[in-house]
Amino acid sequence: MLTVLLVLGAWEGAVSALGIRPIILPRPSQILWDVVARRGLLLQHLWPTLWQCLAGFLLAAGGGMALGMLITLSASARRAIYPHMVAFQMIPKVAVAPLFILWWGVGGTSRVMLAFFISFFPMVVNTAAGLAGADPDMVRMARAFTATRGQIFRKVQLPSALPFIFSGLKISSTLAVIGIVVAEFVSAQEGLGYLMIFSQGLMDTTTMLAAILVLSLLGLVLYGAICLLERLCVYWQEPA
Amino acid sequence: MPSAVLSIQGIGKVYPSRRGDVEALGDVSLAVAAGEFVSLLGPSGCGKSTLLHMVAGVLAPSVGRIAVGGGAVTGPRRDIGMVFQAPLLLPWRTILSNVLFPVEVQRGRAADHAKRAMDLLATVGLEGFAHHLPRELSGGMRQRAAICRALIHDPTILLMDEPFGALDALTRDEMNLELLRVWGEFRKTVLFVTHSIREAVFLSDRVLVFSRRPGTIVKELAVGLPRPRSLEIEETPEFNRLCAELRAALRGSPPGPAALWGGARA
Repeated sequence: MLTVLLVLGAWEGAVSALGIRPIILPRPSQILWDVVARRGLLLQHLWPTLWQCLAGFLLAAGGGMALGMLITLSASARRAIYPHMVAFQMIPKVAVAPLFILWWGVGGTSRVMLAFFISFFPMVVNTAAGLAGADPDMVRMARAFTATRGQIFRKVQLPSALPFIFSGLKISSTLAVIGIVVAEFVSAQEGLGYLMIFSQGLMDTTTMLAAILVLSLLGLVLYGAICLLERLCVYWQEPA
Repeated sequence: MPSAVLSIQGIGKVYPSRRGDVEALGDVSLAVAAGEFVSLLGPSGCGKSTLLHMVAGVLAPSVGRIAVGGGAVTGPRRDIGMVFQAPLLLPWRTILSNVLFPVEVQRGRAADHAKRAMDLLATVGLEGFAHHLPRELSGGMRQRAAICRALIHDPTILLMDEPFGALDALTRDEMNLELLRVWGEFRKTVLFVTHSIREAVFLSDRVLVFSRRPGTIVKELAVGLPRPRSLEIEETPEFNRLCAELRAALRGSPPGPAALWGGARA
């Protein structure tokens, strides 16, 4: 906290002392004032970004977990899907943003699809890794007590995988925000990313940074919510 | 043996490897009567754990036949309870929930067995920890809970794979006493794997000594010490004579060519 205040103080001082023009780098006080003064505008653009980001993220989370479980349970599914997944991983995801606009138009759908596409694979990989990483001794113990494959999956592998799944959720949430913003850069009429491009056109760096601030807060709140959920669900780990 | 509850005949286990097959177990045959406490004693790597896992049905023998209660062992069975070297309690479940795990897996009703679970925990002094998580218990306490878990479904045979190996010597002595007390109450048939001579003699009715890999039984010793046994029995001449006999049997089994050269048989 102190460090943050020191950095902000230094920033404020440096801009004034060096006479940097607001178009290059505004002072933190100016940005904060702008956030307050333009809160209506910022809120107006926050909502579409927020909902589309959440939609893309939840689709990726649900779909990613489901696919991760499928390739763990079924060897044939794994053989069929894994090579394609690896190939898709190679594609630089943000580069397909224009393609998605072509397919789904300039509305929210294409943005949700991009957020989904970016954050999908980390969820699959983390879920699969978590399920496969269950302690083999625990699995053998469950087998010795006559647990079936399905029981072992539900009672041993799934709970073991939770820490990994939450790791994946944290990564995916960050990527989903990036996905939405990039999509908004490419073509949008609303949202915080759009607001940033719009401000750039007007040379209004202050509002641009205000939008970035709100965007960061969005990401932070999403991440924080996941951490809170993790604290509730993963309660059994030994203290380090 | 007329009333053998466990019968092992001509068991062998071979693991294929790049440098030729590794024979983990040679020709092993033994029988255990109901209510008997039998120890398998041998050096590390002699296959005694492998044998235990085959009785549990989680590992298949390469040759031979194992029968429990007259029925052949073809896979994991409901009439077996097993305690491992590590407690292996599921860390996200309470102690009580862990003890009830076998019942849950076998689709029994937890409610019916909850009382029995609490009684078992009380027998080992853990009734106050029923709703704690495993991470809140010491290693010895967790292993005691694991023993309760192995008994909840009233198995015919209790298999124990060096269950006290990870504990310090004092706790180990305590746990040996505890085990005999619990065993005295329920009189289960026990197959106990250990590499401690004193532990084997203290606990058992019979001790079977294994050679180095490939493991075979090189000696069978009846332990006629009276029960119930307390730690003082370890001071008696008879106890020490038995230990000496076992030590000689262990020493007297030199490493075979297989163990020296890593497995390929001539």
